[in-house]
Amino acid sequence: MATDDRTIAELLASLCDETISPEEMQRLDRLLCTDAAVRRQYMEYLDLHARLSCQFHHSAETMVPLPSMAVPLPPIVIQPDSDLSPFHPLGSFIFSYSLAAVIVGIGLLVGWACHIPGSQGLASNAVRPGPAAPRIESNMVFVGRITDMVDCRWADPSTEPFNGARVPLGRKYVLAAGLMEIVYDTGARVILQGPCTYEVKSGSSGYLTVGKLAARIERKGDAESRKTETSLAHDASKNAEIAEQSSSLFSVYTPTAVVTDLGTEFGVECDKSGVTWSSVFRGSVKVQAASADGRPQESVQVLHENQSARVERVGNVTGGLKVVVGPPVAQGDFVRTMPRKTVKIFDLVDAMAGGDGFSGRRDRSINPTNGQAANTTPIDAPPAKWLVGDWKYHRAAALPFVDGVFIPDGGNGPVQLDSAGHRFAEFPKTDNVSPGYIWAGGRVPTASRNNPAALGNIDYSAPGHSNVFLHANAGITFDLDAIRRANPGCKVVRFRTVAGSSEKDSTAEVWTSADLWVFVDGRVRFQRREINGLSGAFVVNIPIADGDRFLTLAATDAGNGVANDWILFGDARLELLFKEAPVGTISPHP
Amino acid sequence: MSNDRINDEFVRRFVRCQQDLYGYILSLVPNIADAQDILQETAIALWAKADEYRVDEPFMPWAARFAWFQVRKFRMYQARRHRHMIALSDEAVTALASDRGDFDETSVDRDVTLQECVEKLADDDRLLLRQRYDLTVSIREVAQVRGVEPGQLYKRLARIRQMLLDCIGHTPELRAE
Repeated sequence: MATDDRTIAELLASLCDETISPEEMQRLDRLLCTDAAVRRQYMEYLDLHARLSCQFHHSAETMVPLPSMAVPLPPIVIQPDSDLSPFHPLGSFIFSYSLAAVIVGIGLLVGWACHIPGSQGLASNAVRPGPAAPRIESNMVFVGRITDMVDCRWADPSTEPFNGARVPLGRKYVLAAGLMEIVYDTGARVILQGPCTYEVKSGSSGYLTVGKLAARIERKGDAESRKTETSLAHDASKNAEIAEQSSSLFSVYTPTAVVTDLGTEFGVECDKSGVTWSSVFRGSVKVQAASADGRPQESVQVLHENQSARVERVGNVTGGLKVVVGPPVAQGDFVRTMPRKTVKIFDLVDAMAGGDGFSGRRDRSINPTNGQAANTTPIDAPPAKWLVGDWKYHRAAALPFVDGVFIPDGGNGPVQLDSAGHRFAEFPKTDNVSPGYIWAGGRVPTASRNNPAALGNIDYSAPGHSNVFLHANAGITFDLDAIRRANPGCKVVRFRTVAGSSEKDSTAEVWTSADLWVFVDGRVRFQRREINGLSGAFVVNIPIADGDRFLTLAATDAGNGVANDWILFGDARLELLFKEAPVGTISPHP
Repeated sequence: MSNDRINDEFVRRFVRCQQDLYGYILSLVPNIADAQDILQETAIALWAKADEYRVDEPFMPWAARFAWFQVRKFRMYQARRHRHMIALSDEAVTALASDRGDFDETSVDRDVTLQECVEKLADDDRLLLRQRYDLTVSIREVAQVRGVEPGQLYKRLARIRQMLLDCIGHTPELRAE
């Protein structure tokens, strides 16, 4: 690289990392204005910056759904074999679903596919040494792809792969819990069941040190394999032929055995002592005793559908290995298909109006000074009737999914955001009043000529839409745990809304402003400060983790009074993910 | 073509070009959070004008015009509200936007190649990239946990990016472009 190129690259790095100084920016600017080659270099660098951002950022926050997400959404069933991946996560969806289902499905899948650990990874790094020179490992060969992950936990979080990642030769996966599916380029589909340690040995094999997996072979030669299997079933003398063919068949190695498919679906389990079990669900497999380095031993058995066998040591630890055909193993011992996922949309407005999140209730309100449900309209009260805050958090006892409400005012110290006592210290000093109740609409009743529920060309009071209308200063907190309890088996995966200021009176000369906030467990997850009707609508898309307990929405007056501070959360929804039980359940081997 | 099918086609094309659109915006407004906001604004504007889109027209150039408008709007807003902010000049941004006039169809290839290059990184380098781009923790926080100066991590990030650029550049299918 030429020195000038390196210097420009340093400028670009500083630009991307927002550490660039004014002088450096001026220099870069001059170069960009005058030198087309620098502009090309800039484009390449920023293109990389964008792609990395898409890859590593919680991608659903990067990739936005179209605003029509607001239409009523049916439950979505996502096939586990959908070929979406985080690198072209949006490019190959089956468009037989409705438009809205497509959009939400995309968001779900992108989020599902691209979950990146934040704090876990950070914590794991605490014991690592300081920065070392980056290096690229050479001769990497990819033989498959991770196609699904469910509830995965990793022995070393820093090695956590992501859904859609290519699978390189030699990669070891130490899965502490959960399910991960790998599809080899050859067509072999392997489901690892945590806890398990599995290493990718070749394009058609893997080494299971400990744990359990199920494998299904899907390739063009299946018919031929089945034909071979039938003839072999009656002729044990052809084991040599099997061995010859095995070089191109899929094999699972363990410390004591090699299990080779003969066009089939089978499970393999290996315990810490090295004892290996194998069960056949369809077709046949060959189970051969083998030493830890994979050298085959004499004992071998061909298993057919519903048969199982174990490979164990004969006598003491120095003894040989023997394959023993056993009774059929319950197929439920192995997870053979990844769980199907269904998404239901939990309507937060319905919950505010006293519903269960699915009943479509509207047009109710909550008093932010005491948490009482009401039907009082939210605005147009004269100042004398404005609600004055008492700097306290108030539970909403009558609403099972609403934890409580408050009037935020940073002028009196940290503000309590939920019943667990999370506090936030960075609200601005406000007037500590709200002109009206928190509104769950429906139409937002007002004498104004403007519609407070209209945002970004969408009327969120129209049928099929909804809105949480917060006239600054007000805040409301939802109890995610209560929602989980009311929907057994669900995982709250995402909060979505289109939010902004819906006031219409600001111009270049007349400028009002308010602040919009979204918190999870007291931590800011989204904020827009000093916004007004000219600021537009913001698509808010926040992944929710299993341990997250409270979701808080708030509006403050930006420190300049509450006039026209109309903060609207259009179509505020939670996505609840329901996983159907997989075929088979994980249970200890007898 | 029925309205439903036109809508489907519009969504399909939007979805396909979304990452490129984001890249285009980020090249003009290098801050990730700002670029995401602008992408959101662009998505809303595109959807509002969906009925004006002709399916026989290339989608990306059409969408990029909306993105360019939103970028300019954002820059005007920033200039008015945050005069102290360091930003590229209008002249530079216009030159960049003009150079980006052509949009090719190799985006997915580039993603796959980048993915493979990222896979080749050492685990700790990949982790650092995640921490940088995840945005849930700042580099300052990462540096604190690792017990190093943030500057060291920024330098390392710069080296990782350069290696990725080299790796992408040496991948045959891209070199052939």
